[in-house]
Amino acid sequence: MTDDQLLSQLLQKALPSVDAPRPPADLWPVVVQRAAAHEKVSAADLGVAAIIATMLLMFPQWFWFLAYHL
Amino acid sequence: MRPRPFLRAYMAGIVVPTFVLLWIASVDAFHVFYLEVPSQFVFGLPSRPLERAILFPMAIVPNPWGIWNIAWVATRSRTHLPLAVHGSLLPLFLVPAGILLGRTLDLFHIQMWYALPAIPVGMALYYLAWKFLVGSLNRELGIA
Repeated sequence: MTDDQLLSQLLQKALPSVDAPRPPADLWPVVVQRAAAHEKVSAADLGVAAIIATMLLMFPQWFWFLAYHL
Repeated sequence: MRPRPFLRAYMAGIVVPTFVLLWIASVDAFHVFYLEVPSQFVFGLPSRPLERAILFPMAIVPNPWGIWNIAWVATRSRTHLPLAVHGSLLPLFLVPAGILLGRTLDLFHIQMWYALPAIPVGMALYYLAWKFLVGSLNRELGIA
């Protein structure tokens, strides 16, 4: 028996085996789905965009003022 | 977990203002070099030519965006503040800083009463920019 095999056996004896329960389903697609998820545009977001557009149409001089701070 | 989340947060934060600056510089270059009209005759603000005024958006604005994104990453576990709300608070610091710098460098003089009504619109704009643009970059870099 080589040193590596002996070490492996000792390690297996010293460390208890992990009996983790298997997940009920494959979790990888969920991980991929979450990573690829995009922020959905809500009605509130559209409302905010409409308010911004309206205000900039009413006060076009604000456009460059705001662009200066972006 | 990927290492160096603050570095990635900073990098994700500076992208959007850097692109906006590119767009502003392109418009200015079009006016100056193609139409041969200096920027102070195009923009409504009583400003010096954009070449001087652009110091603030070019040199300063991207850094607060990056640092603000770092602050969100560092504090989100305690504050539970959505990224969009966190980002919408940035104009409360940026606008006074921009006006102060413009006055200090004698670039232009904008009265605070002129700027105050525009700040809520800026906050709304930032809300959308941080929610969709910075949020998307944060997800891309694995820090969202």
